[in-house]
Amino acid sequence: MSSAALVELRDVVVGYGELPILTGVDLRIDTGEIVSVIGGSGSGKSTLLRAMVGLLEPAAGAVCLFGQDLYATRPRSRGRLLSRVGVLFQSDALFSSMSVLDNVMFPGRKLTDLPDAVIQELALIELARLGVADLAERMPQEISGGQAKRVALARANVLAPELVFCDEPTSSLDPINAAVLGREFTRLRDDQGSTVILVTHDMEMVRTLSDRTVVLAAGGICAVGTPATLERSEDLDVQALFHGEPTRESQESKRA
Amino acid sequence: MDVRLDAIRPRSLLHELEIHARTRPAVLRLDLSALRQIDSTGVATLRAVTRRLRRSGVAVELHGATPEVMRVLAETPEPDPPKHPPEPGVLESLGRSCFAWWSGLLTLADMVIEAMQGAAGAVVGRRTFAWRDVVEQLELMGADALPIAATMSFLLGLVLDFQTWVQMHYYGTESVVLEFVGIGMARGFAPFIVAILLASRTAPAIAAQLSTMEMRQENDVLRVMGISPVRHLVVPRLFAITLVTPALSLIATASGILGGLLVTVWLDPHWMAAFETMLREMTLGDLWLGTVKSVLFGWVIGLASAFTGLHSGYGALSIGIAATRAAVASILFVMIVDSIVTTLWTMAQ
Ligand SMILES: Nc1ncnc2c1ncn2[C@@H]1O[C@H](COP(=O)(O)OP(=O)(O)OP(=O)(O)O)[C@@H](O)[C@H]1O
Ligand SMILES: [Mg+2]
Repeated sequence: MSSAALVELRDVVVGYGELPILTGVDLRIDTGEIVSVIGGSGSGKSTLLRAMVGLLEPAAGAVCLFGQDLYATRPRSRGRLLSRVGVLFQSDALFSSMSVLDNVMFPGRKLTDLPDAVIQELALIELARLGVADLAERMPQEISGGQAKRVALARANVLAPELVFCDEPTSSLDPINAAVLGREFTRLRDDQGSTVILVTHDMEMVRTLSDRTVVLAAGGICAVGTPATLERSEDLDVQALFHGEPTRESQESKRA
Repeated sequence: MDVRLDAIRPRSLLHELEIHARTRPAVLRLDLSALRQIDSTGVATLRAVTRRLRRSGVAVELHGATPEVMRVLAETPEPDPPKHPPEPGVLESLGRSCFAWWSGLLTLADMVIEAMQGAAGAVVGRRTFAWRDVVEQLELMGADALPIAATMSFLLGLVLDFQTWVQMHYYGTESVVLEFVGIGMARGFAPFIVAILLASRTAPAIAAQLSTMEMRQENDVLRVMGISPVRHLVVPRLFAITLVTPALSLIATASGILGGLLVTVWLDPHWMAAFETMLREMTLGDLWLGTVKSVLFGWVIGLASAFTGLHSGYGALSIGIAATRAAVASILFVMIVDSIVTTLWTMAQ
């Protein structure tokens, strides 16, 4: 088995009920990369992410994290694999019964045996990195959408996971805070050696940040490559996303 | 047939054209030349008319439109309306609902097994278990319920004693009334009234909490950390509720007896004798039966509300559905368990 790949998808089919959303997905992601996943709204980005973090079992194919088949392992070892992963969902998914600080301390309390005082420091550091340390005492209902996103990212990152999945981290952020987030992802990769998988609509972030980009269209992966090569791609779907031109379907329907 | 339009009034136009359509012309020509402009409602009305008449076999032709109206008509997208899947036959829907029941049952069994394992693990101490969560839940479930449970059973004891007294007095056997109330409270009434109370206030609360967490993806966050929502959220609640029900039931027994005693003291000059009879006849076994029942009731309520909370789907409606189902299912299962345990116990005596 090729053990170097951190994430490996082999011929994966995922969907809801009997309806497949993505088919024939093959993908390898190595250590220390920032990989962005782009695609139109409804193209299956969140679906792919849910399959990669063990929440949506594929109808066919295999999803491997750290060289182990995620859906074939027993629940306990799946838990151990997943504890090395941080996830930011498209909705912030903060625990509404806990303060911001308790939210960010939660992974430390559950997954490590560090003393509480250390966990608290870790949490505060991570909150400060994302510029939301002053919100520590608030409840999730008392902060804005963009702040909640950053708190949720702090919770995902607090234990320095080897693998970080983020679903649209900048969707409710102003450009300045989006840049803060960009620096955070670079720090994760460069200082911590983490691999970051970013689902995003933010093309600026794709161009400046990602080592590789995966483009989803028409029920599967339609292109993979560095942003620079994809920029020059002939593929209409890729062009559409990179240059904001109409998609292939709409061009065909106009011709018809 | 020709119809000239100078303005589009949706309701009257639909009505008017349907009257024309009754004469079954092959083609209905709509003359739009008098229309100087058209908005989305106008386009939508024309589309609705066309679709409806076409279904009754009348073709609709538009002509005479000004270039401006033509442009708007051409640029408005024309999607097909959603096709409803054909209604499934009786057999198919029966099969489907059987399958849904069966898979629901399997999911429930999975959850119960996992909860048992989680509870056992917590007691043996193999895993770090947040007993703090149990204490928090105990406060939520027990503290507020205590005065209500005590009051309800006090009143029940009072009413029971009163009504029985009237009958018994008639036969001259009023000295056993208090004994009857005491044993009845301990064995059945107190656990039952506590269960009804928890089923109507704690069960919907648990279901609504869990369902909200499921909807907000909080539980997915747990799953991704390798933490099972059943172990993390359901097990502490189960522990709390199985501690709360017997404790409340014992208190309810005491206050029910107090209610009965009050009536007896009032009505019966020999109330001391009645009280002594009650103390002599009531055994630990009676209290024990009540305690066993209330522990089982607690489990049933906890599991029913956790299951409905975690598996009622997404959306604003589902929280209400989960809460309602939790209350109904709890009460129903409490009654089933009650009758089974009472029957078995009585047969074993
Ligand atoms: N629970 C569900 N049940 C059925 N279909 C779903 C469900 N969730 C999503 N879908 C469908 O799956 C497809 C992919 O959805 P997904 O959420 O992965 O899109 P996305 O690429 O993340 O879009 P966006 O950029 O808008 O977040 C969509 O067509 C959506 O309608
Ligand atoms: Mg999405």
